[in-house]
Amino acid sequence: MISVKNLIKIFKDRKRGEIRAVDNVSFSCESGKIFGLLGPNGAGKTTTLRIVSTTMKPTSGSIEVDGLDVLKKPSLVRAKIGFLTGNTGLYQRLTAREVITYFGQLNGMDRKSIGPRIAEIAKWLDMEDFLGTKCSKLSSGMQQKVNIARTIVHDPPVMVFDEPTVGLDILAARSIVDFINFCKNQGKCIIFSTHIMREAERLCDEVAIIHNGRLFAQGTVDSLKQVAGENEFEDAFVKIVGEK
Amino acid sequence: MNPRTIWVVFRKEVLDIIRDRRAVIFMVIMPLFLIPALMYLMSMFTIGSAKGIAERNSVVAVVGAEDAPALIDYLRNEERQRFNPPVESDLNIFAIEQQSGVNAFIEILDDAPVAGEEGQIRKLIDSKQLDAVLVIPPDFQGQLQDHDKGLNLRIDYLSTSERSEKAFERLRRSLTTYRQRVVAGRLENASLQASIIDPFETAGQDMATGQERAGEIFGRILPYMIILMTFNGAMFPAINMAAGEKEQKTLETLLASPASRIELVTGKFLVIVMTGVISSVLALVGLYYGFSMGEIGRQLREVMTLSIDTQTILLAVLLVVPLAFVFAGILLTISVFARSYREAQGYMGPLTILIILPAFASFLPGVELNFTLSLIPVVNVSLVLKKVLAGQGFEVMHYYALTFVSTLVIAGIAIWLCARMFKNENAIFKV
Repeated sequence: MISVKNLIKIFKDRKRGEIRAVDNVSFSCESGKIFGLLGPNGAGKTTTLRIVSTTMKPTSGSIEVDGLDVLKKPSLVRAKIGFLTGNTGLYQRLTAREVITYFGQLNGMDRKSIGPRIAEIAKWLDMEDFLGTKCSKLSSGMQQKVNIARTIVHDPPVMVFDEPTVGLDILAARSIVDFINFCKNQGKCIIFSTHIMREAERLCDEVAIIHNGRLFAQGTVDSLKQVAGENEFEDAFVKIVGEK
Repeated sequence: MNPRTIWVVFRKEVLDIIRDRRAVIFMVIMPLFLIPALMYLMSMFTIGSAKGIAERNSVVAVVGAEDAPALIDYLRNEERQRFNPPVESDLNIFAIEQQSGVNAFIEILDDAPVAGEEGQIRKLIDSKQLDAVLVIPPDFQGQLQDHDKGLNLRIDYLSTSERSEKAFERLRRSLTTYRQRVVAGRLENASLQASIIDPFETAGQDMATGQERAGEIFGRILPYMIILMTFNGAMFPAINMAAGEKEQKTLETLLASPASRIELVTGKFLVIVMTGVISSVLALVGLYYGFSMGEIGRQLREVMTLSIDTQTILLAVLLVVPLAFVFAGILLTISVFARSYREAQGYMGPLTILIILPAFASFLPGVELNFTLSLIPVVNVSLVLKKVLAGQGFEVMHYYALTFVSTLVIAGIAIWLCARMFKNENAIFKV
């Protein structure tokens, strides 16, 4: 579903010169599976996911989503992706329904099909009571739900989560984790970045460890523990990153 | 580019703006109410202070009064009764005296506390005890009867003080009338007719129509206000649409939607242009009604016809649209470049000055349109609008066309810049 080959992204910075934010990274991920991108802050996770979702252009490498080249068909690729990051905001002056409708329309849906779809999602997420409320008046938990609804309103086959639980309290983080599992059960292809090992351990079918833009290891959590010879995944992570 | 997507973006941004109090204040409240109200109050204040001076008696001391008893008697009694300043025919909305029937006069102090020394006179005028001093030469009356030449009446006053200046003006007027009376007496004594020294009179007749006179006054203020309001109306929506999206952290998800960048920019852009144009049209409406209100409106209507016809409005709006495109392009580019709402706002101060200064061209007397000026952005719009509002739009059609096209070219550059900025990863993801 998603295939990334030899992805390189170089930023030019006046003070620091060339920065290889992503350095020759390759991985792939299937429908109905959760693929985790693990690494500390500044590892290149966000840049990779931005390139997959076409908001940034790669310096080199090839990326395909559902058989479509992200460089050649960026709009079609974006239509297949639901994109959610931990610090995504909402239009404070619009109501929950207006925000969801806007993103549905941007994804090419017409008003007739958006109405029932919002009703359906609102029922799942238990958000019927505040659909007509302006986002500025919603609690952070409610805003989280609106964000989730906005992401899946067009029922995309691919979900991209960039550190979705950053800054959330336990309950809100838990609802995100549940939502990711829900997407998996619906057969979506999920790519998910985090620096929290426990989250990765619980959710991911396969993980890739990246650090300083480079891919250090890739496989199931268990296989990585085995390779590193550690019982705890966190120890395995530190060992893998520290070895090279 | 899919027009449907652009329309979706357009509608959402309009909804967002309508609910943004700040944008509405700048787009609607300011041009429609605040500016006209402010200008109204300002002119009321000016009229008020002019009226105050006109209604006040001028306190004058006379040095050597005993040498001109007839003159003093004239000033004290006769002149006081018939004192009424002559009507000035010029259009001057602040010439209050003629309308309000002011009966202020010259008040002559009984004992002059002046020895005729300049320093002391100055001190008395400064301390507001006196407005002016009339200095009569020794034996004035006697020499006047002897037809002596070279008689000089001196008036000491202060040109920097309005009340002193007024006293000077009144004294001079009264003395002129007195002189005419002396001349008339002499002519009578010599059995000559008055027309001998007054063979003819001159009278001016103003050919300007009411609309032209209105255009002269409105033509100065309106272009400036229209340009400024176009900018002001576009400002907050523009900041909101990129820097605001960054601040609300909605920009990245918006860019991750299937809408292309060019569709997003176009949708946002059109809303900014629209708010700019709406704001300038409201400014026109607001100023029109602002000037028709109350005392000033009454006086204005007496001297001029205020008729802005459809043609004038169309020509004006047609010129404002490309200007709004220029502003929208610049503003949105800055907005994308800025990290936050606040940073974007910080750029607005200097930018506003950059717009206001050239827009001021319409205020400058003697600045006429020519080929070069028609190519200078904002200055050209200001000057052409001045002509258009005076009902002379068709007389300067070639400059109008030149201004329109050159503004359009700059608008094109601004849009290109903006689209580039929107594709600039460093600007979009700058933190």
